[in-house]
Amino acid sequence: MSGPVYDAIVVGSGAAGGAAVYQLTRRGLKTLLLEAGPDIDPRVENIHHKMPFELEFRGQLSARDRLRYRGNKSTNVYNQRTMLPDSEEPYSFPDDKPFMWVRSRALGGKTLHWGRYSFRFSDYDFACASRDGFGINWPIRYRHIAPYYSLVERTIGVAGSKESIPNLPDGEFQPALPMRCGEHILRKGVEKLGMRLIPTRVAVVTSREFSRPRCHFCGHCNRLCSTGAMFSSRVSFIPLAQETGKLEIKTDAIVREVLTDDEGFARGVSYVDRGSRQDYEASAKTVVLAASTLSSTKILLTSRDRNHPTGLGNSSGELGKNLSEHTMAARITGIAPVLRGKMPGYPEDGHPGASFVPPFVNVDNPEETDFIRNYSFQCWSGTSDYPGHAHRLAGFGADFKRRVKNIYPALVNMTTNGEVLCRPENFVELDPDGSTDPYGIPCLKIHLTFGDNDHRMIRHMNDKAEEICRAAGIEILSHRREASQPGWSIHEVCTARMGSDPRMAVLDGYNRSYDVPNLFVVDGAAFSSATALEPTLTIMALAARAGDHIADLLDRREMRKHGPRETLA
Amino acid sequence: MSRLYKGFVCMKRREALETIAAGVLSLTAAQRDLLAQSDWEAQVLSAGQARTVDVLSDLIIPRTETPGARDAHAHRYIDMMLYRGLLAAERDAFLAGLAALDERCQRDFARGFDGLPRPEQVRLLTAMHDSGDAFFRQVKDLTIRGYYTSREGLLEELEYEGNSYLTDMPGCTHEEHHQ
Ligand SMILES: Cc1cc2nc3c(=O)[nH]c(=O)nc-3n(C[C@H](O)[C@H](O)[C@H](O)COP(=O)(O)OP(=O)(O)OC[C@H]3O[C@@H](n4cnc5c(N)ncnc54)[C@H](O)[C@@H]3O)c2cc1C
Ligand code: SF4
Repeated sequence: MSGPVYDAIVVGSGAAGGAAVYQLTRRGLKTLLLEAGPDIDPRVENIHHKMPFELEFRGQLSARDRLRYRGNKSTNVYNQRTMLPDSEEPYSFPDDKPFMWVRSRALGGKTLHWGRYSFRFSDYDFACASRDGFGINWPIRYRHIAPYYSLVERTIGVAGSKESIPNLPDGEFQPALPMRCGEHILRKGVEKLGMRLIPTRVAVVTSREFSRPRCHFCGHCNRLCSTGAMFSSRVSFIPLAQETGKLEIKTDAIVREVLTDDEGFARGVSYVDRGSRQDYEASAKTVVLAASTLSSTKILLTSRDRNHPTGLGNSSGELGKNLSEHTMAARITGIAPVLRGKMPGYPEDGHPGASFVPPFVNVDNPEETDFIRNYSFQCWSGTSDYPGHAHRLAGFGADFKRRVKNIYPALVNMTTNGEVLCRPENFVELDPDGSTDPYGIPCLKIHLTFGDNDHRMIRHMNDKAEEICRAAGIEILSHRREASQPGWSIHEVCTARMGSDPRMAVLDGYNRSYDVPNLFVVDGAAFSSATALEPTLTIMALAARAGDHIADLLDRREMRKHGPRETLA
Repeated sequence: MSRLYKGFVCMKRREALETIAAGVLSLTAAQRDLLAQSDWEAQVLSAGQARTVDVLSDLIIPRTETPGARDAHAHRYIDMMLYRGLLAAERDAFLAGLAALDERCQRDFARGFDGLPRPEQVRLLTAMHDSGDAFFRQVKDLTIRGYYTSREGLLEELEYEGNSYLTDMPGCTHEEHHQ
């Protein structure tokens, strides 16, 4: 194999890959970033600010596109060009276990249109198994990751308020966003029950002095942000890494496998060019997988060979197992009666954030309820560009129309993220059918169902949400109790988990493979548990920390030595 | 046009661009509604079917002090959805429901639904609503979608002010909601 030998190859350019290349290049390492999708600058205006009536199908996907993106329900006409059609990389699941696998395929990955909620985990999360005896602890503690949380927050810009909540550490925030009328009304109910409702911490620029422009409150974040105020790796980490002169980027490069040498070290990767369908290899001293949880796991499973028959780095047998995510239940739309008929005087859906009830059960006493672990509520309120509640109101005619309008400014919404326990029954594998995608790469088969603990937690969420609404005087218009389809939280994690015992874990506390010392996995696959919080800020902090570690190991010429068997904690 | 929200300047995107280009605030031509063109032709619905759908949408969201579904050409929206917006099964269900309604009116009144007196139409629709009729649900959902995504429904009825540029996010400023 000819061509340059990079210090590091990073596979995937989303949250994880962005943070990794940022830190690697800052530390002076010659880095190659391979991204399966094209480069689309979200700031180049397309249809971002079109009104629905200016668009065909009023801004909804056509029937044909609904079918093309059937497994990828986050797709809308505005972000479609960054999304992966099912046929490009098919996947399967048992008939009775439908799984939704939402995937972006463009430079920046899912951060191009993600939800932006950015929370720090705490030692309540990292030492979870010590607290309730389930699963494994993380091999790190808050003190190990805190400096990297700060680094990431300062680099990407996170708006938030300092709240001194023990299980939700404060960060380095830009000015917090204010709450809207309905959220304040909900807050009063939440506080009556002894909980907190705080402004969501969001990766959006609210400061007037920052390297990226400030938000202009158009509220189109789930489309693509035309100002760059919303963090995506495409507008933040990647250009910053390019400024160092150390980064080379190849887009439309789909990585098939990690290649190993005779001694069992990673020597590079093989990839296929999406346009020409030609195969290439690239060489490096270090390989960093950041293709998103299930894609990185798939690459490791596909990289099986004589020495690694069940997948690369899988001597523990844990690769692909323990698949976890969040349950989203208690999806409530309610009405705050005092706000009926009162237009707010400004477009409330221009808000790029929302509000948040931090995890509150099983915190001080981990066995407070009939389930373990906990959940959070996401809440938002007010007028928006579509009155979805109209579909839930009975009747028709002039009175119906008046009620739609009357309720429109009074709407309050809630949903949850609950920790799904990591269980070996929830796993991914290469499809036993042997099916492959158009590039000949094996397809993934995904197995995930919610367990008893998850269902007990879901019951609690639903009851608690109704209790909050009662306490706040909010009338419930609709309440969907059942958890949404597995996968829909888009927070899949844990399939190549880190842990301090190599018999139980794939990675050490620096996201480094126990089996292949110059191989790192820096996305959500590395999580030891899902926690009840959104994963991405932690993914980025861990990826930046791994980047530092890689630079240290290369400096010390220790990349090809096995790390200590026991790490940290 | 720049609008003032209690001190928060709000501009439509194009206005902002023109403001920057011209150095002044200017009124702009309104955004174009794709379904409002004068030479509209149905792709799926026959003339009679289009009339019936128009009447149904007008019954569901009538004109009041503000425009209704008819003003917003909801039947054109529905035709567009039938053409390439709905899945085949959804489209077939809709057309079957429409045919069944027509048959029933022909049988009972010897004319189409659109030819019935308004009170008779309301009576029929009420019965369909109360019995949880699937076709009624479908027409109602499509009418809602078509109306509230139209210029008339979104801007005139709901007085939607978003899709704008703001200098700040005001949030709730009502003392009484904070205590
Ligand atoms: C609508 C939505 C809302 C969300 N809201 C939140 C939120 O509020 N808070 C939060 O924390 N998280 C949220 N998430 C989840 C968040 O986006 C992900 O956790 C995060 O993007 C994961 O980062 P990643 O780098 O692992 O994967 P991604 O961002 O998906 O990036 C992976 C990249 O790898 C590329 N890739 C895949 N396979 C290959 C291959 N074989 N070769 C080369 N490249 C490859 C992909 O094309 C992609 O660009 C949300 C996601 C969505 C879609
Ligand atoms: S609301 Fe702010 S962050 Fe969201 S898309 Fe608009 S400018 Fe970007």
